[in-house]
Formats: sequence, C-alpha cells, structure tokens
Amino acid sequence: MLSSKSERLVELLSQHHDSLYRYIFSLVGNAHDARDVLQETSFALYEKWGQFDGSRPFLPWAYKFAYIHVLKWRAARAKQCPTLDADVIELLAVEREREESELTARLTVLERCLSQLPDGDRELVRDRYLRGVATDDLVDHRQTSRRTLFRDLQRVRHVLLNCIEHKLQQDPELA
Amino acid sequence: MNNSTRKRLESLLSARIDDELSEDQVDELNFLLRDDPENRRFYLWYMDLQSRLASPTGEPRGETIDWRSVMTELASPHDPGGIPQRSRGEFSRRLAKWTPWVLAVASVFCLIVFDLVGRKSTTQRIVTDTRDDRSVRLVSSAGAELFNERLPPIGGMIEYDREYTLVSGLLTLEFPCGAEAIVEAPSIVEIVDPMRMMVKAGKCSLYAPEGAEGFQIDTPVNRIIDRGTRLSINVHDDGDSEIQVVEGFAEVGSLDGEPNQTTPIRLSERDAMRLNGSAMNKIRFRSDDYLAMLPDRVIGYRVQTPTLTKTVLSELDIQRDGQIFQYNADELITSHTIHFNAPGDKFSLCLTADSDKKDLGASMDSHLVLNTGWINPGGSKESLNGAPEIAPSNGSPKKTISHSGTMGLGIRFDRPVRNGPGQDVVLFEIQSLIERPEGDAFHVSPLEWKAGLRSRTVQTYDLTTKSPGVIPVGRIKLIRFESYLQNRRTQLATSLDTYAPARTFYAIATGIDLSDLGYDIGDAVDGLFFQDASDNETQFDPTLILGLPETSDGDRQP
Repeated sequence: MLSSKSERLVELLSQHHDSLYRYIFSLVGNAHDARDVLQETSFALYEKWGQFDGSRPFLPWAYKFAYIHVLKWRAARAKQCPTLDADVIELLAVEREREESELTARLTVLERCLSQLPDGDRELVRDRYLRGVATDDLVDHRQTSRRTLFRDLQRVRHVLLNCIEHKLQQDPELA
Repeated sequence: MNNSTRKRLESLLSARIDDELSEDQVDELNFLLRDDPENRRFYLWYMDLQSRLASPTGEPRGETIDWRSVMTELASPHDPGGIPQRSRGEFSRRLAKWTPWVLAVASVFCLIVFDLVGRKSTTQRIVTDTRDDRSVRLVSSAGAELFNERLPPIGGMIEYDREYTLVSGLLTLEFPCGAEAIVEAPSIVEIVDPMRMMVKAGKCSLYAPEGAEGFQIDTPVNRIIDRGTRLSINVHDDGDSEIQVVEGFAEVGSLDGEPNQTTPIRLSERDAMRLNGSAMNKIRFRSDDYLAMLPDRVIGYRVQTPTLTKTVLSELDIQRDGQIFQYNADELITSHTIHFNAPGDKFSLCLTADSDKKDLGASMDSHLVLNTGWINPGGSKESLNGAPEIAPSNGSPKKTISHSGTMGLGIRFDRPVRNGPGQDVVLFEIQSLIERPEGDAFHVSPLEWKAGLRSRTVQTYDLTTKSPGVIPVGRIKLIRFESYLQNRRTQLATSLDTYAPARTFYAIATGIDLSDLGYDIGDAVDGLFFQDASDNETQFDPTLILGLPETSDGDRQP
C-alpha cells in the first residue's frame, strides 16, 4: 500500500509520463537511452518527492530532474563516443519548455499523418523502432544496404514532417 | 531556415537517431544548433516526431506505464512516504526487473495501435520488400551549381519528376540499379523513375553495369535504351542529340511517332549517331565525349572543431590521377611563410578571435589551422614569368616576413613535395558568402625557377562556398599594420588596426598540380609563390597551404 503522498506521485507520473519521456528523448536522441534516463529520473523524483510543492505544476519540477539526468547520461556517453555539447543540450532544454504546447499540437496532427503512410513505410518504422529489429537484420530481410535503409527511414520522417506542416497550414487552429 | 539547412539538419538528425553520427557530424550539429534558435526548433520537432515513432509507451493516453505497480515495487518492503532507505543499486535492479515487463506490454500495445491506424492489415513479419528502394542519389560533384537552389549534400536524394538545371560543373547521379550518370553543365535533367532519366538539354555520360541493363535515357524526341554499356548523349538546343557508344550495346528509338511505329536501332561499340526523332544518321565516333569520372579535385575535408575560434583540419579527401585518397591531416606536408608583400591599406593578418595579438609568433605558428594566415597578398594581372624577388630573410627565414621585393606570398614546405600524377598541393582560402563563391583568383609560380617552369592562374576552386560540405571557420580577427617591419615579433608596436568581422567565413579549397607549373614527375619542390590575380577589388585570402605525400596504394580510399 502506498502512502497518500506517493499515490499523488503515481497519479502525476501516469498523467505526465508521456511528456516526460518526450522531453528526455528529445535531448538524448534514442529510445534506449531515453528509457534509461527516464528510469533514473523516476528514481530521483521518488527520492525528492517530499520536497515537491503541490501548489506548483508538476512537469517543470520533473523536467529539472530529467535535465540533470540527461547531463549525467551525456557525461558518461561522451567518454565513449561524440555527443551533443552540454551547452547545446541546455539551449535545447530551454527551447523545448518554450515550445511545449506547439510540440503537443504537432503530435496531435501526427496521428492523422501516420494513418496516411503507405503500408510499406509504416511497416518499416514499426520493425525498426517498435519491434527494435536490429539494423543488420533489417538490411538482410529487406535485401538492401544500410545506407538505403537509413535513407528510407529518413524519407518516412520527412514525409511525416511535411504532412504535419501541410495540415497545420491548412488548419491553423490545430496549432 | 533555408531549404539546404533544413535538409542538412534532417540528414544529421536522422543519423543521430540511428546512432550513425560521426564526430565531425556531431560537431556540425552542435554548431547548427548553437547557431540558430530556428534550427533548435526544427531539431525539437524532429525529435518529438521520432519519440512518438519510437515510443515504448505508445498512445492513446491512459494505456501507459503502470506507475502504481512500479512505485509499489520501489517502495517495498516499506513505504515511509519519503525517501527510501535502500541503495541506488538495489533500486536500479528493482527497476530493471520492472522495465522489460512494462516495455513488453507497451510494445505489444504499440504494435496494435500501429495496425489500427493502418489503412489495412499488414503482416507481422519482416517482409522482403525493395519497392521503396527507389532513391537516386548525388554521389559526387565538381564545381557543380544548380539554378536557383543549393546542391543536395553528397549522398543526398535527387527527387523524381523535378527538373534540375545544372548551370556549372559536373555531378554524378547513382540509380538504384547501379547505373551512374555524369551530367555536365549546362544541362537540364529530370529523373522519371528508377530506370529512366530525361536529358532535356546538355551532356550526360552513362555507365550501366551488370544489373542495370534496360536503363533508359529520354531526350525530348528520342529514347535510348542501355543494354549494358558506356555511352554519352549530348542534347542540343534544337532537339538534335548525339549518342556515342563507347562500350557494349544500346538501342535508340523515336518518341515522336506512335508506339512501335519505328523499330529501335541497335548500336554497338564505337557507333555514333545524330538523332532527331525518327531521323537518325551515323556520325564520326568521338571517344572523348564520354566522361568516365569527374576530374581530379579536392573532394572534401573535415575539421576537428568547426565552432568557436580555432578550426583545425583533420582529414582531406582528394582525387589524384583518377584515384580517391583520404589523408589524415598529419600526413600532409605543412608549409611556412618566407615572404609577404602587399598593399598597405589591406588587412594582412588573419588570426583566430581568441589569439593573443601580443604574441603574434605563437598565434601564427598554429598547426593545420584553417583560419590563421597571411591574407590579401599583393599581386598583378599578369603572372610571373621569372623568379620572384624574395626580400632578405634577416638570417632567420622561418621567423621573418619581409615587405619588399615582389608583391605576393612566398611559402616553403617543411619538407619537399614530390611532383606525382595529379594534384600535389592543396590551398585553403577563407571566403564569406558575400564574396566570389568560386574563390579569389590567384597566380601560383615556382619559388625557384629553371628552364621549362611557368606560372599558372587558378580562377575557380574545387570546393567553393556553394559546394556541399564546406565548413564555416571559427571567428577571426584581422590585423592591419601601419608599416611593415622585418621581424614578426616586433610588429605589435606598429599595429594600426584590428577588426573582428561579424560575417561567417567558409574554408574553400583547391588543388594544384605541379606538372601545370612545368615540373617533371618526380621533381622535388621546396616552395611556391602566390599572387593575387588582381582581377577584382577583393584579394585572395590563403590560410593553409599543404603538400600531399607521394601516392601509394595504401592511402587509397576503399
């Protein structure tokens, strides 16, 4: 049985986990690391839950912890391979909080665009990103090259971005 | 954000998502994101889109991670409602236990969502499907410039059903079937489908290897079907076209009649024909119409740090005598200035913005730096036809800059450069976007003359400010001197003016073939002399001059 305070944390995490995940993903750039950072962030939120001021909005408070854990992730990753500089991550984090509502509006439109994707494209995205099929396996199964595979994934994103922009231009009230 | 920046960002962000970013690309991405809030917004849109595509938690809302179970698991065996007393390691292990379960459930849910939003049911297995493998790519370019648009990046896609007007230079397109087309300016081409391109005007050389048989080139009134060959096609303004078959077979037919009205004519090796619809006449074969590869040139380069101040060359890609080489910068032969004479009203010295002007010696000794050098050297319209007059070196050639003698810049390589086939020297210049995109013209001459040597004038650089992949250098400051002194270390006393330009400069580059200066293959060259070509108001701004090592097979790019 959770305490009433922890119940409130569960409620807020359930309500906002999607925003929190997207925030982290946008700064780390891939699902695997985003999940790890989300895990670390939830730990920190649980640890510091006693300090949360219930009269204030939850997400900005949670973002601060997420941001700190993104920087920790970055520091660890930078030792192994090149990644975005810390000052750039900071700029992105600031910009993202400003853009929050627009980003959410765009995602609403995305759902419509996804439904318009050709089957082959939708299947490619699903295999790669939802099922997490390894690149080499996809290359083998699709009898293509890595370059072509990545180019196709890029093309799908390009199509979706254009679709979102087109729909927002057609109906500015969506934004 | 302009279209080319957006395309570049898409390419970089896509590579980031697929964990394919190189160190240089990360640097470039850092630069773009730091540079412009619009770029950051686009980044966030892109990543937010991807977060949804890759989300383990999926949609719709409500069907998300069961945080209650998670927190209960975290809080056990007791939940004081405050800070848990267990270690972080233990906590992580508990989360690790939870994570796969949640992700598995979420992933299954996501699959269902994806299928639901589909227009029709799709299979749950990975299918072999190459229908989408239709991309035509730009694989190389040399001085290429498109009308009213920037060239896509190397490796970038060429769109279907869209007219591309090549106003200068050459580019190579690669088709999914393996066919390669080299298009020469001026030309207008359009990609119709993966096996067909239209040449509306201009010249194109086509190579169709095994597997690309059947590739078609349409002119306004004719169709050429490649049956596995090398051929060139030249479409004139009046609709006439000429085909030269260098190797293999091709069929030519007319597009101006009813289908199947005319029987295609088969051409074989060394056949040539002038075509205008059904009018087809044999002409003399010219093998030199066919272009097998792009000319020797500097293909590209990479730097260690493209941002902030010091921009240091890290790698160079260059085609020499038809072969592509990739060099690490430390393999290249550096040079030092031994002579500099220029008009007094110009800025003479380019330093990185953070360099110490009180210690010019140290600031100028920067190794492989693309934004440090003696710029705006003097020159003349006519190039030298004899040895330049190099001012006395005051006993310390490496540390001395002289300001008398022939107008221009004299450099000596740190070890001799041996003349080999193709290009032997690379010169980098910094150029802003408001200046001549092709680079500032210059004369290059031998430093020491002997019979048979000559000067050469370079009008157009291999990499210009319009070339894909040229990199902006870090911030610079320019120094103008009141009077020229003999020794660099005493110049501070006469420093007249320092200026930090706000505009961005790009490192552009060109190769120099020592054979063009009359050197024989195998000759060792100690130094060169450069002069501005005095063809316009702006003078050229060389910052880095490097010799290439002797060629060996081991250097060649796989």
